[in-house]
Amino acid sequence: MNTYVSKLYFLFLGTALLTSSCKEYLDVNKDPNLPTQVPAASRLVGTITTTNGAAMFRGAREITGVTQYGVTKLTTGTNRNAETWRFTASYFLWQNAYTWAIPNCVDMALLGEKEGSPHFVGAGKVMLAINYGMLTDQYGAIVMSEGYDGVSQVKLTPKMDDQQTVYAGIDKLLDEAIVAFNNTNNKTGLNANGGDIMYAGDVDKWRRLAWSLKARYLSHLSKKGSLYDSKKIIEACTNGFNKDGMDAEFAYLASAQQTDQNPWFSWGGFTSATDPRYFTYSQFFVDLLSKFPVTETVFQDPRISRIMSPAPSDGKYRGLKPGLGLAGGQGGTGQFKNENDYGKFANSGFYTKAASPFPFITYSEVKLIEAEARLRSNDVAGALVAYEEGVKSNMRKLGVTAAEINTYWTAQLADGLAAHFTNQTGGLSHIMRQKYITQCLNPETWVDMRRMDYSTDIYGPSLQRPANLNTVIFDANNAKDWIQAMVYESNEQNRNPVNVGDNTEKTRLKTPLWWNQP
Amino acid sequence: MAPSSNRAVDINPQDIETVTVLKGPAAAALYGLRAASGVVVITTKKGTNGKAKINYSNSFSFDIANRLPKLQSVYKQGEQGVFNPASVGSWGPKFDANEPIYDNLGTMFQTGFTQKHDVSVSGGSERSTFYASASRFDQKGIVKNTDFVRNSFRIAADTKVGTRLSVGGSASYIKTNRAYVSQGSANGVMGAVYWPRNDDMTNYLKPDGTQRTIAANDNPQWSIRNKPITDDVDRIIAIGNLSYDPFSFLNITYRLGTDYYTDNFTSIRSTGSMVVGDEKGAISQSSSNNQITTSTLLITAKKSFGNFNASFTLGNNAEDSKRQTVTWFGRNFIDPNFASINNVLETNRTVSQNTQRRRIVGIFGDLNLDWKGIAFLNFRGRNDWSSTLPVADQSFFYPAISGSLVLTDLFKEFGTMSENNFLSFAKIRASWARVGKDAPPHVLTSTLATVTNDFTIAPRGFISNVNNYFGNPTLKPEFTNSIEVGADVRFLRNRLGLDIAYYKTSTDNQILATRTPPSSSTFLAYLNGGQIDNEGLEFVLNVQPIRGKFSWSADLNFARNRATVKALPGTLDRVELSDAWVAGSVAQGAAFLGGSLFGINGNVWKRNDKGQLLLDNNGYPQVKSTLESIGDRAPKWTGGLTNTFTYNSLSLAFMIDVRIGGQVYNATENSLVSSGLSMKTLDRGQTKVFDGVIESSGEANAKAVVLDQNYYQTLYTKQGYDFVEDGGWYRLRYVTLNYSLPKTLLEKTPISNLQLFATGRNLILITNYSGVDPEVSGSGAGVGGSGSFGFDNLGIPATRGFDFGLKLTL
Repeated sequence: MNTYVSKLYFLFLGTALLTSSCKEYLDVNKDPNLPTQVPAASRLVGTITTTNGAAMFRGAREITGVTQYGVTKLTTGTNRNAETWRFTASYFLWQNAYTWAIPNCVDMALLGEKEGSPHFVGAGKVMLAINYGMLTDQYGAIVMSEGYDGVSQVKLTPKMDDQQTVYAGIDKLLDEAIVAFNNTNNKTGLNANGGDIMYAGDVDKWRRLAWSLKARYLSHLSKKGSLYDSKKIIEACTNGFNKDGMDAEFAYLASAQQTDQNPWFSWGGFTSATDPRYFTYSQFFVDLLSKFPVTETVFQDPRISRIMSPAPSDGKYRGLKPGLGLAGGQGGTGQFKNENDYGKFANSGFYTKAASPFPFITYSEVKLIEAEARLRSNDVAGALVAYEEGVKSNMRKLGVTAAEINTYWTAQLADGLAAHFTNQTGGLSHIMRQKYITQCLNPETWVDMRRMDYSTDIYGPSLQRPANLNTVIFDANNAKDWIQAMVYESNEQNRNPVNVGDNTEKTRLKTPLWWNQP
Repeated sequence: MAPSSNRAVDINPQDIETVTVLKGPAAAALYGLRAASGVVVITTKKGTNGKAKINYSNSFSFDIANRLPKLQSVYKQGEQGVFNPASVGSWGPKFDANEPIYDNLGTMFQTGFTQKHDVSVSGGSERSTFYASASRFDQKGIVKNTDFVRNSFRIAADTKVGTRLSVGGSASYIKTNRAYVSQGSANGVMGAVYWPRNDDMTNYLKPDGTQRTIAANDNPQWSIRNKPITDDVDRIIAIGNLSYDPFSFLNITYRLGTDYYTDNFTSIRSTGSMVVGDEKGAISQSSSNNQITTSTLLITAKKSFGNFNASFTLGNNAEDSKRQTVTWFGRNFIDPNFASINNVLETNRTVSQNTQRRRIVGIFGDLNLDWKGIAFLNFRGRNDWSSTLPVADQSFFYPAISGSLVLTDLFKEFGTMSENNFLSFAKIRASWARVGKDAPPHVLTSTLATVTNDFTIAPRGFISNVNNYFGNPTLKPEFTNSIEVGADVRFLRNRLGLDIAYYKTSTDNQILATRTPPSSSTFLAYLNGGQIDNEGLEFVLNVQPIRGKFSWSADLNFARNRATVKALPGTLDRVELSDAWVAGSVAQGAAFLGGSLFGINGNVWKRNDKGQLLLDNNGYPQVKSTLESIGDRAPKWTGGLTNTFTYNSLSLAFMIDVRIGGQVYNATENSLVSSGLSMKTLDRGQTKVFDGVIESSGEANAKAVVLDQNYYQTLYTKQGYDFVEDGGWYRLRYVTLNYSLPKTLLEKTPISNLQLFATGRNLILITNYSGVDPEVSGSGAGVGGSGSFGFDNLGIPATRGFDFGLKLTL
C-alpha cells in the first residue's frame, strides 16, 4: 500500500515540477525567423531601395504613360489604361509608399536618435520627405500627422492632412534633417554597414540633397502667390547640389536576381515579349528631343541617342501616340506600323538598362528650378546661367561629348534663346521642356505639366490628350480637360472611408490639387 | 493556387471506430483550448479478442463534373463586333452557319476513376489484442493530372501486465501524394471560360512544340500538362499509453503521442509559360517538418455512495508543436526542358525559412456525479498557459457545468409513470461553458525582413516586414461562452425519436486578424475586441414505421445556425477575409458588424438615398467607389432526409439533402461576362434606358445606352450585386444498395461474411443557381479554406458519380 502512495506522490511531484518550470517551457514565442530590431546602419540601404523601387517606381509606372514618356503597343489589355487615363482605386502608389517605404524611414530616424547618430535621423527624414512629397503630389490630402510613428499601436483609421499642412510638414522634415546633418556629434557613420548606396557616407551630399528637395517643394507653389518665395528657392538651390556627381541615385544591379535590376528594364512589366508595359517612347518625347522650344526649329538633341534606341528598320527615331498603340503609327499618323520602325522602350538607353539608376532628384533639376525662380523674379541673366548649367550638366551625365554640347548650345543661342527668356512663357517653355528631358520617367514631370496647365505654349503643339481617352470621366470635347490627381486606393477607401471621403474617379481625377489652384 | 488539403485526409477511414462531434466549447475543458470551436474526436480501431479475423473491402468509383456553366455560341472571337484572331474576348461577329463551335470547357474534363482497397487483421487473447491494417486510395480526378493517392499502414496492440497494469500503443505510417493544377484564374482549369469558341483550345501546341495560346494567358490545356503542382506527405503517428489501477477506485492513465509529418510541395511553370517573369520557366518548392507531441496524465477516482456515483479526474496536459518550413524559388531554367532548382543560376534563386512554435500546458479537473443513472451533473475547470500570449496574460482559467435528467426514469422512480406504449424515453440536458483561446504564435512584435515580392525592388537589407502582422504586444486571451439545452425523447417503443438541441455561443475579446488601411503602415493586425454570436437549432427525427423482415426507417435532420458579428475592434464596420478575394476584385468574403459572419463585400452601382441609380451624363450607371454588403453566404437552414429499406439481407438507402438560402458569388459568371461568353451578353448591341437619374443634373434619365462590350467589360462586371445568386439546393445526395450474401451460400467457403454495394452520388440536383454545382469554395470543390465557401471562382466543379464494391470477412 505504501508503495502505491509513494508512486502517487511522485506523479504529483512530477506534475508540480512541470508546472514550476512552466515559464521556461513556454518561452518559445520570440520569432525564430526574423529580427525585430537591427541598428540604424543596417536600415539605411532598405530605406533607400524601397523609397526608390517600391514607392517612387510605383508612383512612376503609370504616370510615365500620363506624362507621355512611354506608349504601349496593343490597343487591348490593361497596359494602356494608364496612358488613356483609365485610373481607378486600384492604383497602387499609396500602399507601396505607406507599407514598404515609410516605416523604414521612420524607424531609422528613431534608431538614429536612440543610438546617438543624428545623421541617420537626417537620412530618415530626407527619405520620409521624398515619400510624403510623392504622395501628396499625386493625391493631395494624405495621411501624415497620424501616419506610422514607430511607437504607437496600429491606427485603424488615420485622418488625412490637407496638402498645405503636408507641404509645411515636408519643409519641416527637411529643415530638421539639415539640422541633424549639421550635428557633428555623430556616433555611427552613414556608411558604417555599407548601406549608403547613394553617397558612401558623405554627409555634405546628404545635406545638399535635403536643400535640393526643399527647393523642389518650394518651387511647386508657383500658383500660390506669396507662398512662392523666389529668394528662398534660390537660397535652397545654392545650398543644394552644386556640381556634377551629386545626384540622389544608386545603380540597380545587373547580374543579380531580377528584382535587383532596374524595374524599367525587367520586373516593372517589361519581360513580356508581346505586350510589355511600354513598347516605345512617345512621338511627343521624340519631338522634344528633335525641336527647339518656342520656335520649333528642327534640331536633333544629342541626348536622343543616349536615351532612346533608333528604329531597327532605318535608324530613325520615332514615337507613337498614346492610346493608339502600334496600329496608330508614328504620332498617330498611320505611317510606320511595323514593330521594327520603333526603338524599344526597355533596354534602350540611359534610363532603362538593367543597371540604370532611377534618380530621386538631380543637379540638373536643381539648376532648372533655380532658372525658373530667377526667371519669375525677373533675373533673366541669372536664369539663363542656371538654365545653361542645368541643360549641360544633364548632357554631361548622359555622356554627350563636349563637342556635341557646344554644337547644340551654339544652335540654341542662334535660335534666339536669350530673347526667348525675356518673355516668361518663352523662358518657362525652355525650362519645362528641359526639365521634361532631364527628369526622364520621374513623376516630378507630372507636377510640372500640371503646374503649366499642360499648356502647348510651354510644351509645344505636340502635346495632345491621348486618343481613346477615358470619356466616361473626361470631356471628349474639351481639349483643356486634363488629368489632375489620382484616385485613393480601394484598400484605404474601404477601410478608412470617413477620412478618404469622396473617392469617385470624377472628383479625384479631375480636381486640381491645392498647389494647382490659384 | 489551391491551398493544400486538410490533413484529416491522412486518416484511413477504415481505421476509424467512431467519430464523435462535440459541438461548442463544452468539450474544451477536456481537450484544451484548441477545442474552443468544438472538436471531432476520432477513435481509431483496436483489436478485439478471439479468433483472428481478416477484413477486406474495396470500392470503385467513376465521377464526372456535376454541372458546367452554359456558354453562348452565337458570337465569336473579336473586339467591338470585329473579328480579331489575337483577341481573348468573344466580342466579335456572329458565327457563320456551319462554322465549328468548340466545347473548350467540356474538353477539359474526363471521367474520374477512384479505387480503394482496405485490408485489416484483428485478433487477440484475453490479455492481449492486436489490430493491423493497410489501405490504398487511388484517385484520378476529373481533370487530367489531378490525382490523389494515399497508402497507409497502421498497427495497434494492447496487453495486460498483471492485473492492474495495461500497456498499449499504436503506430501509423501514411503517405499521400497529391497532384493538381492551378485553379481560380484564366490560366487555370476553368480558363476555358475566356477562350473563344471558334478556336479549338485542345490545339495547345504550335508545330514547333511551343505553347499555342491567345494573348497573355496560358492555354489551360497547356497549363494542365506543363504547370504541375504536387504535394507529398509522409506522416507517422505514434502513441503509447499506460493504464494503471493502484486501487479499485483509482485509475492512472498516461498517454504520450507524437504526430510527425513532412510535406513536400512543388509547383512548376514550364519554359514557355506566359506568366510574367516565369517565361523561361520557374519552380517553387517548399519542404516542411511538422510535429505535435502531446503528453496527457489523467488520474481518475470513482466512488459510489449509496445511490450516488461520483468520479473525479485530475489531468495534466502539455502540448508542443513545431513547424519548420523551407521555401525556395528559382526561375529561368538553363536547360529549358529540365525543371529543377539546380537548373537555374544562383542569382535566380531565393530561399527562406519559417519556423513556428507553440507550447501549451494545461491542468484540469472533471467531476461527474450521478444519482441512480437518472440525474447527472458535471463540473469541469481548466487552466491553460500558452506560449503565444504576453507573459502577463499567459494563464487563463475556464469552467464548464452541465447536467442531464432522464425524465422517464425519474417518473418511474417516483411512481408517477407506469410502463406505457406511448412515451418510451425522455431526457433533457443543459450546459454552460466558457473556454479561453490563445493567439497565433509569434505575433506580439513586428518583425523585419529582407525580401519584398516579385513586383518590388529587392531591398538589399532589412526593412519592415509587410507580409507579417503588425506586432501587438497587448493581446489578451479571447473567451467563448456557450449555453446549450437539448432533449432526447422517444415514443411508441422507440419507433419515433426526436433529438433536439438549441445553442448559443458568444465570444468576447475575440482575437481578430484585421485588414487595416495601408496608411496604417500595414495590411494586417491582430486585435482583441471582436464579439461573434452563434445561435442555432438542430434536431434529428427518427421514424421506424415498419419493423421486421421488411423494415423501413427514416431520419430527418435539420440545422439552422446564425453567426452574427456583434462587435469589432476600433471603429471597424467589417472584417475582410483575405483568402476570399475573387475575380476582378469585385467581391470578397467579409464579416459585417451587426450582420453575418459570412457576408459578401462587393462593389455596387451608385445610388441616391431613394435607391435610384445615379447615372453619368451619357445615361450609364456608375460604380460606387466603396464596397457594400451584397450577400450572405450562410444558409437559412440545411436539412436531410434519409430513408432506409431493408428486406432480409438487401437494403436500399437514399438521402435527400436540402440547403435553403446561402448565397453564392458567381465570379465564374463575372469572368464569362468579361470574355463575352456569358449568356447574359447575348443582348449585346441592344439599347436600354436605365431607370435612374442623371447625377449631374438630377433629372430622370431618358437616354438610351448601348449594351456593348465596353458596357459589359467596364461597367457591368465591376459591380458584384448581379453576380450574387441563391445557392440553395435540393439534391439526391446518394442512393445506395447493399446486399449481404446469405450465410448458407458461404458455408463451404472460408468467407464468413460478404457484402456487395452500389451507390450513385448526386444523381439529382435541383437548384436555381446558374453555374456549376453550388457546393463550391473559392479555389474549387474539395479544397479547404472555410473563408472562401460560397465563392464560385473558376474552381474544379463538384462531381456526381457511381461506386460499387464489396466487403468481406475471413
